Amino acid sequence: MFFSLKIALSSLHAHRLRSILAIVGVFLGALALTGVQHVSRSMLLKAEQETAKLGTNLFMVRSGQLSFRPSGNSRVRSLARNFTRQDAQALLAGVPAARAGAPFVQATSPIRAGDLQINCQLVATLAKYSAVRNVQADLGRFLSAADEAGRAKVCVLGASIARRLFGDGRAAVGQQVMLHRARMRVIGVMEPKGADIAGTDQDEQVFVPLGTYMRRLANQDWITGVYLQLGDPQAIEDARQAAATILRRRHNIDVGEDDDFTLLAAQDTMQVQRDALALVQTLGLLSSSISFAVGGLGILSIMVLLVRTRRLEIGVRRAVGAKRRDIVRQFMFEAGLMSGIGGGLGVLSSLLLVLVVCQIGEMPLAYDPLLIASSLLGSLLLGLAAGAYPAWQAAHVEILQVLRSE
Amino acid sequence: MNGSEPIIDLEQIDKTYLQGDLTIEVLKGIDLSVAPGEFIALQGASGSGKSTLMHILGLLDRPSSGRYLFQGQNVAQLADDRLSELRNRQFGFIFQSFYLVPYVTALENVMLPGLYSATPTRQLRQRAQQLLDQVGLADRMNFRPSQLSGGQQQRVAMARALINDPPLLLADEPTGQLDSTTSAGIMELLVEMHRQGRTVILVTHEAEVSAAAERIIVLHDGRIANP
Repeated sequence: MFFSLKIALSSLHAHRLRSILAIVGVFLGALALTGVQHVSRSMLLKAEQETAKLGTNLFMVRSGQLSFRPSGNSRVRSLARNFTRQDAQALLAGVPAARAGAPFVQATSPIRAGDLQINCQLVATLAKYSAVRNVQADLGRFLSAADEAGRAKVCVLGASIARRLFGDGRAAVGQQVMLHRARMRVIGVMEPKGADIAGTDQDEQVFVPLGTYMRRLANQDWITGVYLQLGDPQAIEDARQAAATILRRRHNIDVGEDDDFTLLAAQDTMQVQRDALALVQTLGLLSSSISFAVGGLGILSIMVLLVRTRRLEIGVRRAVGAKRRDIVRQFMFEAGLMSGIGGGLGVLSSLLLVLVVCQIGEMPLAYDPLLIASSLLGSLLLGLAAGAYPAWQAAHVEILQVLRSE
Repeated sequence: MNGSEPIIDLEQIDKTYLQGDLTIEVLKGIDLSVAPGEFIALQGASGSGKSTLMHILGLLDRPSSGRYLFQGQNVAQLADDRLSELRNRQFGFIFQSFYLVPYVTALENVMLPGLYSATPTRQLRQRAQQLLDQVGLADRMNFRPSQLSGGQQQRVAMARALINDPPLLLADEPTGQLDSTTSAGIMELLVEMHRQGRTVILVTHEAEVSAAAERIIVLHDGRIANP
């Protein structure tokens, strides 16, 4: 075994350029297969975790039609201004499983501290938002019921907004900021959270009491929507239907007319991600198949070439006692060696690559032993399949023809 | 096997080749019997059929007609695998152009036939080292053929022929590509191998090389010319 390995390596060394090309083909195939599949699995896992963090029992109703794109971004079409706090209350009362609700207004707005002005995502809502969305203030406190009752001119900053305005979250609490030409007192800074699965970055948000915003800042009577927390995650479908019925009736939407609102559960965004990743996986599979095919053809061609250039060796081996099956075994071994090396290195580098990608993308690492094993086995079988015909050719080299011609 | 029973027995061996529409008769009615331990020279001009005869004797080629008994077995009835086994265990081949595998070392070339005789690698390596020592190449074991002179390459080939300790050696013009001094050394080794009890069949076109043999068979136009 060691000896045939040595002969195989010497022979591959003698034709290194071609051997390397064939190996690279298999290498890329294995890399693409294990790499892409692993990364997309990690992305899916991350999306699942994000959904769980968001709450599987969270359910959002908002005005306008929200459309999703495979990239994960969402866009609002036909924003309506007819969603009211009364709608929100009706939903909370009428949706069977609804346990708590947080109406909100979302708007983009400049925020100023001293001479520094930046843009933020303004979220006007109630104290319950903290419980419904499962978010907390890191410093100071979140909005309270008293803030709402008194239409207090207070706000809570997202972590990154606080850092950009005041350099440090600690320094922000107690300071004054200007929002919509109103002077607001910073009462808290949110914990850093990053972007959620729907693409909203809480760190870029600023929270103000709903009543303060609607009456003192913007003077509007419509809201963006309401977050509903359900007692039972299984009840989402029922909740969806109940909510649609209530809103269609309250907004006088006739049968056959489109909704002027969107019902959105965390799972919906999950589904979008899933679809996008399925596409990525298919493309990955396609590209790895192509690489594998190139690698297999590479091995086939180099083995045919090797058999031709090593006719003397084959003849000598046969003369000194090699049987046809010994010759077949030898060349199959060499083909398997090439694809094994390519596949092994490919899988190994893909694992490293996945490690790096997961680190950078802050995704959970999830190695799949079955996928790794099948990539390795697939590479090996590819080599053996590609080596079969050349090996058969080698076994049928006529000893005498070789010995006479050389 | 007792001494009187021939190791090789040829009866009316013919060999014909088809070349286009032409049928070329290379060997015509060869009768030959070789006893164990003999040293025979097959002598003849080029084209006399001596190489073809050697290939048939060495089970590298099959006769067109006639009967070849090797150790009493009719070769025509043996399967390809069985012929491989016989070549492996019973024959040592020495060729004019050495036929070493270029990309492995002298030692590994010597070991090559041993790969097909199920010899444990360790034992095989030891024996190959001994043989290379015997042919005077103890200090060249890890050289590749291209790093060796012609005479040295032929010595490697001779060590290779002996690795499975075969009773029969077939040498096809072993000194054909060597100068006279080197040739003398190779012939000495061949004589030494014969003295160790092996049957040696030597193919040559030079009368002075044949002189080392006990029996000389002259081939002329595919027939044995001497009685």
